[in-house]
Amino acid sequence: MVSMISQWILSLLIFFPLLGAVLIGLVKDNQTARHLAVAVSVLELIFSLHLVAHFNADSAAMQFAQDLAWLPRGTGIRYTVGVDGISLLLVMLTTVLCPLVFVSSYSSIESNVKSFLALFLILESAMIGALVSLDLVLFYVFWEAMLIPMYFIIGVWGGKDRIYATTKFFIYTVIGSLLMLVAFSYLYYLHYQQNGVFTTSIIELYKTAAGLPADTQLWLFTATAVAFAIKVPLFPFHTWLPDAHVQAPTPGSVILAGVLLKMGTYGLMRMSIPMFPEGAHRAAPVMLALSVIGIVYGALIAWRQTDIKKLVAYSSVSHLGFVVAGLFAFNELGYTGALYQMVNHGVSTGALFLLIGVVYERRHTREMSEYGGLAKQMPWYAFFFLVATMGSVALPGTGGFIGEWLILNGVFQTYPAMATVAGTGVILGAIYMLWLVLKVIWGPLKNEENKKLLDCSPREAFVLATLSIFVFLTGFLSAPLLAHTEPTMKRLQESVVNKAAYKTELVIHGRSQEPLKVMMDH
Amino acid sequence: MSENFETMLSMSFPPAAFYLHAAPILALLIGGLIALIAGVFRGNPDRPNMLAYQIGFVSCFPSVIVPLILLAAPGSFGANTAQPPAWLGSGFLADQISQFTFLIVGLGTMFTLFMAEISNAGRQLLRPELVCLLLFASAGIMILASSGEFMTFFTGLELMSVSLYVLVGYQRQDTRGLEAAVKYFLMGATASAIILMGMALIYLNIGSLRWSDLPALNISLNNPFGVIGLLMFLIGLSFKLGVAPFHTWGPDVYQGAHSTLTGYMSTLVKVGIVMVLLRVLGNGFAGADGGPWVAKVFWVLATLSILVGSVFGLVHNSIKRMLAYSSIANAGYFCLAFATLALAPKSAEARQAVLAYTAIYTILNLGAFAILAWLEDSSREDLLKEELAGLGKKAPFAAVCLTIFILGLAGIPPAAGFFGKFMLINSAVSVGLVGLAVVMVVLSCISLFYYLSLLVEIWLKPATRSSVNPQDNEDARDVRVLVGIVAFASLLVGLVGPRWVASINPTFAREIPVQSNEPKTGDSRSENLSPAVGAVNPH
Repeated sequence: MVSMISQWILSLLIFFPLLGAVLIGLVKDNQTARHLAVAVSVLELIFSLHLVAHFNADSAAMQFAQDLAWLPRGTGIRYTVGVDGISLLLVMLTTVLCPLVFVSSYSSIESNVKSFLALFLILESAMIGALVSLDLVLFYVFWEAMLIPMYFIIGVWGGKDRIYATTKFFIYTVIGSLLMLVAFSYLYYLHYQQNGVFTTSIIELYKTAAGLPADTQLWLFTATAVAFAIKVPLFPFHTWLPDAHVQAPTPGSVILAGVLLKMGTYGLMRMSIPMFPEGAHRAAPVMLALSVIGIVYGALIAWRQTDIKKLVAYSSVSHLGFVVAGLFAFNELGYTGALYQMVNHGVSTGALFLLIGVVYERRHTREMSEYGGLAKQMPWYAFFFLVATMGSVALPGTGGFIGEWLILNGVFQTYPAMATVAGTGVILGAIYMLWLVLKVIWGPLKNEENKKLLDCSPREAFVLATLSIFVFLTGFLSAPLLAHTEPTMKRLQESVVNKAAYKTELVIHGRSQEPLKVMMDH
Repeated sequence: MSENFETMLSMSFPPAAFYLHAAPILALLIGGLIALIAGVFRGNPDRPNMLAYQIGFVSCFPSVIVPLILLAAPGSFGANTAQPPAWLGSGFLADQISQFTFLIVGLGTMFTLFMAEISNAGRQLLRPELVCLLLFASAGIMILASSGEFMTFFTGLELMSVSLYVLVGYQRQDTRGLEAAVKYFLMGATASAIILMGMALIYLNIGSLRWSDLPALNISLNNPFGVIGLLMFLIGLSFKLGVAPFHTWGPDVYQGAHSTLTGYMSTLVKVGIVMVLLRVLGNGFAGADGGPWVAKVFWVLATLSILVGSVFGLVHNSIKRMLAYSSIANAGYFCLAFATLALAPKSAEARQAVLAYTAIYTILNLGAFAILAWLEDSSREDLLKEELAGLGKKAPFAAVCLTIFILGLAGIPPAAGFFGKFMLINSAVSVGLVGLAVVMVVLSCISLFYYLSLLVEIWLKPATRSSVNPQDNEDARDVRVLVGIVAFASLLVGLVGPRWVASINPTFAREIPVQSNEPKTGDSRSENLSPAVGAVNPH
């Protein structure tokens, strides 16, 4: 039974939210639809716990794998999914954040409720699909499918300049991903030339790609890395992010910062670096330089913002700069830190966007000068705000500290100068975040409007409390969490340092290979 | 003497299998004539004539049924699958490419007739002449796609073009339609003349009209007339296909014709021309320079076409003009596969990409124009972008379907267009045209702007006073069913991929030599598929 579940769990996780979206289409009442969406996402969370419970932490293989026929056999394009240390944490992050977002949307989304919920469930499907696909075309389909719901979420429920922001978001992402498609297509043919068979299996292509000449690798690496760098967003490609964040509705911002941005760093970690290790080595100085510029530049710009949401958006540019820097340190510390920082950033920035949403719903402004002294009027709110800030500035005891510490250590081993500059980002981060807290939470309660504000409702408090617990949970439980990823990180580091092919294999639970082959043929 | 006579007899009366394979064309031609006669006996010539419509509809049946049987069960009726036969000299090639085209054209013609019948404006058009012209045009397209030499090709081309000149100007009261018809006629006639001149020059060089003899053409600067001849032929076809820089008639003609007919023109006509290019290029060219030279021509055409289609579409407010530019860009995408074919004539990837993308593009564009035709019914002809504002609220089903078609045309998965573009890129990359693939990808991002601007109007903007108010009557229900089927088909293709192309045998039919003493240059070239395609076939 368990092996049966293990075999189908990923497909269940991908398609269950889609089913939920269909069900929401059938429901008449808005309130029922909201309950249904929460129920679907909570069930999804419960299903995903199966992954944690049965994940073999000593293995770097692709577990819970499933490999079925999709397109005609000769094309080599298959439905292949699997989870390893990298995707496990990110899938869990997604399934944890989604129910919280649905709970928060009770108050933040008033119009077209059903469409919103359905689109959001489709988005959840696509995100999980992109995280677990082990086939380039399957990955690409999910990757692009993520765009459409997000396009509408920003475009329909967003702020004043939503159409400009959502169009910019869409076009930036598509330009990058189409270049990636050409790179994939080229790789697909190179594999055919060398081996005489077509395949889009990522595991197979690791072997082909790592053996390519350095120049080819550099080109292919650049094409894919640009696509992912736009999504991250890395320094010169970041301009869509502040627009998208400021215009997006609160749930959209949360999932954008929490999961969608991680798709970029996930892509670098899953495709660009292990596939083209030689190319990655050549490009590493540039990528590191860009990420360090992003760290400092993002922090400085964030410091000068008066709009709270813009400040947090630019802080994301800075924080994700750390993640990319960690990836290009090419050591285990860097990889582990980068992965961990992705999770931490998802939790703490998600919490910050929710907090901004709470006051925005009450006051309909995000100007810092409009607030001040909220601690007196809204003590619980102030408490949660402080916790999220602590997570964001990487205070010891929170997960952010461990992530940034690992990254800086990792980068210091290979590029000490870069690490030193990046370190200033931590200080700047503390400055702008504490500046924000000072302006919004502390100080005298001067504005008359703010004297009428109500503290968090039980629903808001529940969501914020859950995220606050996670901020500390990641801080104190880092060892058991990171134990799951350790073998994967080790193997990744070995293959990248030796510029050898990344080796991994599918673990298909509960079925011998024979009947599976028969199934594939039909 | 008597032996010679018998040979002549056997040549002038093809065997029974020919009539079966050519049944789609024959049925359309006969059906068109009957529809015309029906109009003489029945009803007012200025009123819609349902009898003619029914005759037209029924005469499309063979073009759906026969290809379906021949494609689903290759080898039925004693058809030779390994080496499909050609009849009427090389005039009619009975291969699966022809059958596939017949199927698309047949279904598309039925769709067009049906759309005309269920929209108000379309019903006004539904007179016997329209049915007759539409069937003749479809027959012309089929003749084009199944021809293997210049004479039948030109017959089909003119049958199609002349019918279309009349169809575009069919609304006699509409000055814009008349302007479009005159423009189309002048441009089309020029293109036909250029094609004829090209044909003559090629004939001068190789002494044959068969496409299978084209490899004998010497493409080099030492032979200027050969080069000019081929160039003129390609330019003429580019005119008909609407490839930049020969695209200028496109937007005006699309805007002037009724939307149902625009849908027909922008899809099925292109299907015919695309198949001709597939066959011409698939025979290959002589010498080491021939193929690369032709590939360069298509490189330029593709780049220009995608650039023009993507950039010029940005400035237009009329949806039909925008879709016209989108179809110019799409014609450019086809050129990717043509450039591939010029370099590697036997490339199974390129042939499959062409077949897949024609079908996908036809589905998407017919669907989009069907919705436009329906919306124009309750508003006016030539809708502006702004008039779609708030459509998502007013007619959610039509809006969802239109969104699927637009996303498909933009190539965003999971709508069907993605796999079409993916296959085109793959085919270009497979012969090393990576630069062209990058050009296509980068420029097509520009076209996203206008596709997205349509989505913005439909979903993100509130309805205004000028926006359309689609009526919810009996016609609307029919349209919903019809468009729903097309949208479902395009999603299905997007989710499972164009699986069917893998089972189509893209081998060209060859003329079976009748007299052994006559020298034939091209026929010794046997055409085999690459092993990769053999493996693709799931059965």
